[in-house]
Amino acid sequence: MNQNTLIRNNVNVTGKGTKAMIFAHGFGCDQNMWRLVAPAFEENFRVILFDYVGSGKSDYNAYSSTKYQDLHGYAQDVLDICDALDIKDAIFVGHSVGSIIGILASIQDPSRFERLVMLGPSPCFLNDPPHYKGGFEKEDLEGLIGMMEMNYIGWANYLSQVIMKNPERPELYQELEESFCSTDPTVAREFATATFFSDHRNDLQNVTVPSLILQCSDDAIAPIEVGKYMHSVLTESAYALMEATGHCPHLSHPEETIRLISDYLKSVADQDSLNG
Amino acid sequence: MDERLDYAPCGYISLNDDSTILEINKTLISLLDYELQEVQGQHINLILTRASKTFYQLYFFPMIRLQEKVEAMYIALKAKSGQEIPILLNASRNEREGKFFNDCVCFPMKERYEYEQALLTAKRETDQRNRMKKKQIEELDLLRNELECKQNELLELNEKLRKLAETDGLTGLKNRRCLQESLTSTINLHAGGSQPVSLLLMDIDYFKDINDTFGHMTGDRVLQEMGRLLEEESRKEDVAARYGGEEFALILPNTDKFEALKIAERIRWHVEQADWGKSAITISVGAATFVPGDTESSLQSKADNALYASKNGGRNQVTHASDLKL
Repeated sequence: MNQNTLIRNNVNVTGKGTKAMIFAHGFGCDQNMWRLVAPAFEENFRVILFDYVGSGKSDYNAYSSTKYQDLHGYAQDVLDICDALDIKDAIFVGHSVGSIIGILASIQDPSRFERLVMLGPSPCFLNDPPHYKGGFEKEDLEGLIGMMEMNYIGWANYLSQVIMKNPERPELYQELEESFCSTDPTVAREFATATFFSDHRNDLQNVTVPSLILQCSDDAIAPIEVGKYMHSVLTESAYALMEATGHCPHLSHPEETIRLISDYLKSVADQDSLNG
Repeated sequence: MDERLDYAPCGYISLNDDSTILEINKTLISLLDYELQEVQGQHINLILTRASKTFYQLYFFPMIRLQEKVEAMYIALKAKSGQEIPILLNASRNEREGKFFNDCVCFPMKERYEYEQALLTAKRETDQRNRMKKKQIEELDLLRNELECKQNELLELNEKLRKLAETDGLTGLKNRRCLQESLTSTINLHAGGSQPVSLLLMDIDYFKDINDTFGHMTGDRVLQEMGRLLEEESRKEDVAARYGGEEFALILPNTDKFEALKIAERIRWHVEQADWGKSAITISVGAATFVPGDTESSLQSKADNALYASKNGGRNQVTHASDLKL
């Protein structure tokens, strides 16, 4: 089982430290997203990178539409990895939906996590007037999925047929793999639904693990109001508004991302030693 | 900007990692109906539709950063008027004088977009139909399975009923109706050929006395035991039946007079020898063997006459019809 999990989720462990630091990618890509940030923590941490089942170089045979119909299936991936590597009190760093997946995992088994660091988290993308503004109307999200369909997932069957009918042209597969972070289109559609149409606002109050919210300026996906909302509901949460714009500060502003995470971890370590 | 690029038959736009528009050519500006100063220095979001803004963050930016190129990506631009312009976009990440630029070219695909939308719609409908068809086939399969189960149940039930209908409840032997049918089919089967057929009719002697003396329960037990004994004595192809009351019958296919008498005598002897508890029990037997011109009823009446003769002759004996004096 342990070995299976490590292969299933394409788990990669590096770093010289003993304390585990788990990096969880968001929707649409894989562990490569952490390429500019994760190495900075290898000196002091045991750095753990992985792909969710259905993403990156995970084992697609392990994918089940039922298990991964909502984010709890993905949270189970995280807990399985903790179990396989015997992780306790980890620093969990999640991007976007990866943060919510971490939240769900931490509710299920808080002993695995010491801190949650969340980049651009959103517990609910849909607006829920009058009190909650997720930033999206239903039509917006349907438009997004429509755009995914036009780009890739809508043509998946045709593309795979083209590939199967042209075994002498392996470059077709190569191109396809490169074109969308090798995400399987069926999985992509279901992951998109699980991500964008979920509402985990009620789960926030059950989080006991302290957290840091890294909010980007001008993020079209997770607006500032959402970051502030999370900060107000999550107990023991810290909030930092980044200079970084967009939704991928770990790619666009890796230095700032690294600095804010390091500062936070240092401050809580100091606090702990003061208290201890 | 190079004039040829400025007026090239494709849009050109260069972005930094903050997604700020650094350069944009005239072709693209006029497509969007903006002035240069309105877009230069602005965030790319200005010219993206709602869905494209999200898509840009989810796909374009990670790809250009991690793979340093984007090929044939469909997104929609938003003109100054708000009008959506579907475009196809290629991009590459280039370093110039120590800085990184995400250079993009694009061209409108209005008509192609319409074709593809139509194709996607058709595909979705086909998928939907296929799903429905699959579901219907599954439902049909389920119904078929149910039907098969019901049919099997029915067959089993019929088989049970058939057995009940031809079985004598008390002794478990065949009943009179079944005996009649068996006799007809045995005769039909053998009468044409050279195979002989014999019939034994057996009656328990003084059965009324048993009932009167020991009660009907005992009488029933005697009948049951007689049935068991008869079953034991009969061969595989023989048909043993309760003929009625205390009377039993045994159809003996492929059996001539000599053999029939041997069997009849053995049964009579076994009944006499058996331990019946409170009183001794014997039977009288009448035998008949099919001869040309016989029918099942003539055969039965011959056997019956023979049985009568055995009774009259003092009971506990076997008589064959052909030995009777006419």
